[in-house]
Amino acid sequence: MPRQSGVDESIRSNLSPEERSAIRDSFARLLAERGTEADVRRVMDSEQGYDAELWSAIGELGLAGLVTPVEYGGAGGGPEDIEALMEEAGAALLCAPLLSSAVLAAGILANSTDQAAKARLLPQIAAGERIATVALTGEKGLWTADDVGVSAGRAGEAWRLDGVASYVTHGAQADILLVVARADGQLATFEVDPRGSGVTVTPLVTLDWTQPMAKIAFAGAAAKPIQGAGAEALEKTLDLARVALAGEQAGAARRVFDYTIDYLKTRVQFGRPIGGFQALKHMAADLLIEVESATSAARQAAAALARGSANAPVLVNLAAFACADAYSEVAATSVQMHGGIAFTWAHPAHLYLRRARADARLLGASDLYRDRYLSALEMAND
Amino acid sequence: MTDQEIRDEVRAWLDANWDREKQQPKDAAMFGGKGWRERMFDGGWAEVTWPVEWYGRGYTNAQAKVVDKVFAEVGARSGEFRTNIFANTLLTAGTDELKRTLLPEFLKTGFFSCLLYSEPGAGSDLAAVRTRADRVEGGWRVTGQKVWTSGAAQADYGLLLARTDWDKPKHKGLSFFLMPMKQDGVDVRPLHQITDERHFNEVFIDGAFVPEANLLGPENEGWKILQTALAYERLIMGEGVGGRREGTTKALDVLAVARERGALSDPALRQKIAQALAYRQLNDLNLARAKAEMSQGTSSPIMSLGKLAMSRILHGDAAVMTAILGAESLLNGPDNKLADDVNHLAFKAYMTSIGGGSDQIQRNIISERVLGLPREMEVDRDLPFRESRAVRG
Repeated sequence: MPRQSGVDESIRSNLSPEERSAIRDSFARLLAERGTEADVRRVMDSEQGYDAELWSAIGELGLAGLVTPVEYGGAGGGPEDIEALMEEAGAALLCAPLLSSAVLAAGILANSTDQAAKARLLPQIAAGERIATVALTGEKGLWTADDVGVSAGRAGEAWRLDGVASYVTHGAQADILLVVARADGQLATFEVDPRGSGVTVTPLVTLDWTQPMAKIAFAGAAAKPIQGAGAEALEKTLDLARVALAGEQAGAARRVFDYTIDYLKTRVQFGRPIGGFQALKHMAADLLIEVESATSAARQAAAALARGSANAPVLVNLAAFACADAYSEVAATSVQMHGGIAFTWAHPAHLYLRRARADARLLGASDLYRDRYLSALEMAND
Repeated sequence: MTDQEIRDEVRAWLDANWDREKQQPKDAAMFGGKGWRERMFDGGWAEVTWPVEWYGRGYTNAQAKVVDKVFAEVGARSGEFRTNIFANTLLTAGTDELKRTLLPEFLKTGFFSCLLYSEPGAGSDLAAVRTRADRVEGGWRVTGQKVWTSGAAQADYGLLLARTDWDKPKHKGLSFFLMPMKQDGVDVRPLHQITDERHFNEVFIDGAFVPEANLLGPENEGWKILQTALAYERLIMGEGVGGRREGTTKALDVLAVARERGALSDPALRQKIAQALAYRQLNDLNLARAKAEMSQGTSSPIMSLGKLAMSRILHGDAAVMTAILGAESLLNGPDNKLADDVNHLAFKAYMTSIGGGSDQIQRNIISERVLGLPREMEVDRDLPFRESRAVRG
């Protein structure tokens, strides 16, 4: 979306940097205790698709409402707060709908003009009592406006949805479904009861077992429009989600890198730690550039979005592909650097590789964002 | 001192010394013939981050930025020596006597210096240098051959790494000197490079004299002093000086070249262009974050990454611009200015990926010093140098 000049686009946070850092630390402590690899594997092997106990603990800490405005029961945080939190989430392979519910769903509602919907839905989402998600893309999974596969039609006062949305994160776990659909040639957002008639939710068998997805078919499903949640509110929400996802990728890449370096120091072959071999040392040095670049890109995109900087479109699109590519590269190379041990199911490397590959597609692939980044630079340098 | 007090002081000094309308220093005649640098020195503005006893003001980097900004507002420049290798090495390692002699002269005139490190037999393995410095009355006599020295013909001083003890292991018999360049016994010969330029020189040294006081740090501890000097060099290369053509002030702009050649409508090229621009911007973001972290007192590993990152940026820029130009990249010369510039960059990029520690050496350094991985084996590390293959062949 082109930004209107003269409009204050900043997303101010109610939280100070000290509060952000305290929140991040308490989340990290929670994850160290209750979001361990064993917990991740327990959730992977369950039918539930997310860690319900961990999610309630997240709700109790107030983190499900981190970027929800204070008047709707949230903490009133901004892009930098959610980016920081997501770095920890990525590092721990969080199995909970933080991105789906606390960022995407809460974001589109907060960015809408629908006071009634906000008052009704946001407090429950912010408390973590109900899970919400947003159906954004169609069966091609391109996450572009063209790929929206649901259309909305009016029957008297009521709206009905038809079509298919896919790759809906936590689609089968959500209590509240917000569906992006085409209405009168424009994008609009509708609230749909996932258990209502004319709604068929099919869980997808996914590569990444830590982040469930669903395909959702609509056949004349009853839908309630969210006022003022069209293309502009959607793009604003997606920017927040892009920064959050970039944070997740940066945090995860760093965690994978750190345990890979630790392994290089302890694994002995040919009578010495394998980290002494140049072939591996040079791979490690190259990966460090990726890890540091991802952190810089995610944090500075978040800061630009928070300030409402004119450079935000450039930095957000850059973070979107740079962090995706960095995480993919680090996770993939880490398997190779570990050797045989990482080819086993019992080793965590493949869990991160699966998440990296999934995250790299979520909200749109790197090619899309490279192109958008170049377009943003062209506009900035016109 | 508050930022506002700093601003006020700079402005007051500039009011007295700088002609805002002409955007130049007020006439030297008004100041007894003293030039701009000399007046900067007298005013204490030559390098504000340096300690007060060494002609600075002991300002933090943040305060220095405040100063730079006020200077820039009127079109003047400050902080020109902040990352100067000669000055910083001298400040860090010189004796008080040498600093009192050379620093004021340097800050007032900005004289040139050059680096006398590499030799034909000591490239990546820099500790294998065979240029010798032998003690004589009042100082040292130096004999040997150095290479890859830029600015040698203009330099007043050379930062010299030479061997002072052949019976100690390679790293432990080296000393670091500031060698006066304008003397008999120093012969500078330009080197013809793959870019068809002659930017670097070979320096043949035959019995040149270095005064006693010009030893930096203790005798035989030159390797440690060298590390200080190299850190500044890598810092500068990481900030992208390496890609610019002599006589131009700006790096070739991939986006401008793409726009001019209509490459922005080609989807395949767009991907490559975006990636090239991204690598450059990510390096800028890394440097910005490292500086912010360092100003808060946290050390950052990022500063060690800049040169390696810049090498990928420059080779990558050259590759994508070559792709944009297509067959035009077969041409050179003044009638093919853009192709000539792009081809020049493609060859000059090796200066960043080889010079100042090749990419491969950089990866060793990063993995060892930043990541704590085991050091490379070095079979002659503990041998008396005279018994090593560097000497015996």
